[in-house]
Amino acid sequence: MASEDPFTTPDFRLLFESSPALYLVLDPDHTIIAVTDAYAQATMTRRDGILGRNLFEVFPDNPVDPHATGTRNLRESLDRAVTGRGSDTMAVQKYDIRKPEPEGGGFEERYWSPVNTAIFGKDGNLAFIIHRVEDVTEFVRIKRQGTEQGQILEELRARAGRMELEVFQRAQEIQEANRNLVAANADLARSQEAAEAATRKAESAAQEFEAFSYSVSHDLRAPLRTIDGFSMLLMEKFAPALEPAARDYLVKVRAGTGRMAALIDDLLELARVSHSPLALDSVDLSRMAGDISSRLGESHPERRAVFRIEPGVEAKGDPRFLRVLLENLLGNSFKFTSRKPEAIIEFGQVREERKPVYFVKDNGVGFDSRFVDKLFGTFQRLHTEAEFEGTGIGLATARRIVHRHGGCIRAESELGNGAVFRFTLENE
Amino acid sequence: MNDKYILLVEDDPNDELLTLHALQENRIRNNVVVTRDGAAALDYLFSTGPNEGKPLPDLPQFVLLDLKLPKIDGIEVLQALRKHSRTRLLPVIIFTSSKQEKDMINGYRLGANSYVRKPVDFTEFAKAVKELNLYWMVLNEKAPGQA
Repeated sequence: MASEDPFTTPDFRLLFESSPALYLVLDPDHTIIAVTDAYAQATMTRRDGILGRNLFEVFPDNPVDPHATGTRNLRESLDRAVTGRGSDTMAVQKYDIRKPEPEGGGFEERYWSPVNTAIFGKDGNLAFIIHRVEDVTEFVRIKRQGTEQGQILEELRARAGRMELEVFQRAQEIQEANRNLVAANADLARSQEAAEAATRKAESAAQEFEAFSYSVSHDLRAPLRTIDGFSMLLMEKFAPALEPAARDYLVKVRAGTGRMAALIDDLLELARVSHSPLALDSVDLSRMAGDISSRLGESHPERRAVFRIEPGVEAKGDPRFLRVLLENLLGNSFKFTSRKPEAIIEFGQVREERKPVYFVKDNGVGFDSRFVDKLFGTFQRLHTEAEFEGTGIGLATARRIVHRHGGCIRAESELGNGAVFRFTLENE
Repeated sequence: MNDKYILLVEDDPNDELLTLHALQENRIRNNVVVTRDGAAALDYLFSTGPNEGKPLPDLPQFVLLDLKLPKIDGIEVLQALRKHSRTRLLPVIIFTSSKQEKDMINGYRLGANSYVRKPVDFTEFAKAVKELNLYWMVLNEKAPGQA
């Protein structure tokens, strides 16, 4: 049994099929006639499943890969091997293989490095084609990974580059910002200087004003006191010698000095509320209005006046100024209700657009609303001195105070039907 | 020497005359010593300057002090009075035309006992002088140890 003697006649089919390399043997029509175990394993096929079948029927293109060129390339290579009567080494091919149904079916991505060799018989005709492949999928993957890593690296480099650029730009920006900052600091220093200069100027103006008002307050009043005092002494000491007309004239002289003194005081007050700096604090306006009302009531105990003061009205402002404001408004109401059998004067607040609006309201003679524009002007009066005495400065002062607090003041009235003054203090 | 008296420090002769009139009118015949500037007031009280060598006078019942004065102004007079132990507790009433906040604050801060603004209206003026006199001359008890 020569065939059973491994030394004389080796079993070539067994040897071939056991080869660790991946081989297919095709006949000239590309029918598979032999296959190594390794090939079957690598292509997830079984020998009995592919023997006798056409190569391209067993290994069709992956239908889901639109770029699959495997079958075409393979066919061309086989032809070249035959035509060239030798071997044809193909470039690495992507040639996906069909997975068996039990493993989920579909195709698995594979890369192959094939070599096709045409074998001719003694008659010179094509006998077989040996199709040898190496599964380079892993290699391609690694390479691709390498590529990917390279790409990542490249990406990183690019990003690093961009960052470098960005860092550079940032640095430039920072430098620019620093330059601007330096410039801004210089500006600030300059504006601080300017502000200090302005403050000094304001201070010196305030000092000048102080000196001025001091002098006005002292020196303008002293002669008035002299005029008034000696007119009075004339009337008292020389009463028998004075004719009634002379006495009447002296009364007028004294009235004039009184009015002049009131004007000086009111003008000083107006100047003060215009020039003095504000010292803001929270102010209990209700309490302030209460104090002022008591004092007004005490000044004319013969009058019937009801003050209705809403409790708990608070505001932020300069307490000294707000006192002057309320003194003027409440004093006004008190004055213009003097002919009512019962004066009713109210103070309170309402909310308009969620902002407090304070009001002083009375049932006095009111004013003709056609002249409301003149009401707050300096020395403007809507009543004659004979009707109601006054300097015409009080409401100008009130308005100045409100304006200095960033608010506004308005008045409404119907002649004979009382008046209401409303004001806001916007700094709240 | 004179028992109770007022020291009036006043540079304006008209105001001086009106003050004296007001005091007379109220039938309170007090002695009034008048000095016409701050320096004269201090020289009088401490026997200095022209009064050098004179014995120290008894202290007045109170000082009616104007603020705007020649040489040494009212505030400086007040400061000097409060510095000396002899006059530290002497009642000083600032009696001035000014209602300047600064004057009032300074006056009280430096130890003025009262601050009264001279009214322009003589009726008011006379009333103020009378009330001041009544309070400080008659009702007020001087601090113990004050001459």
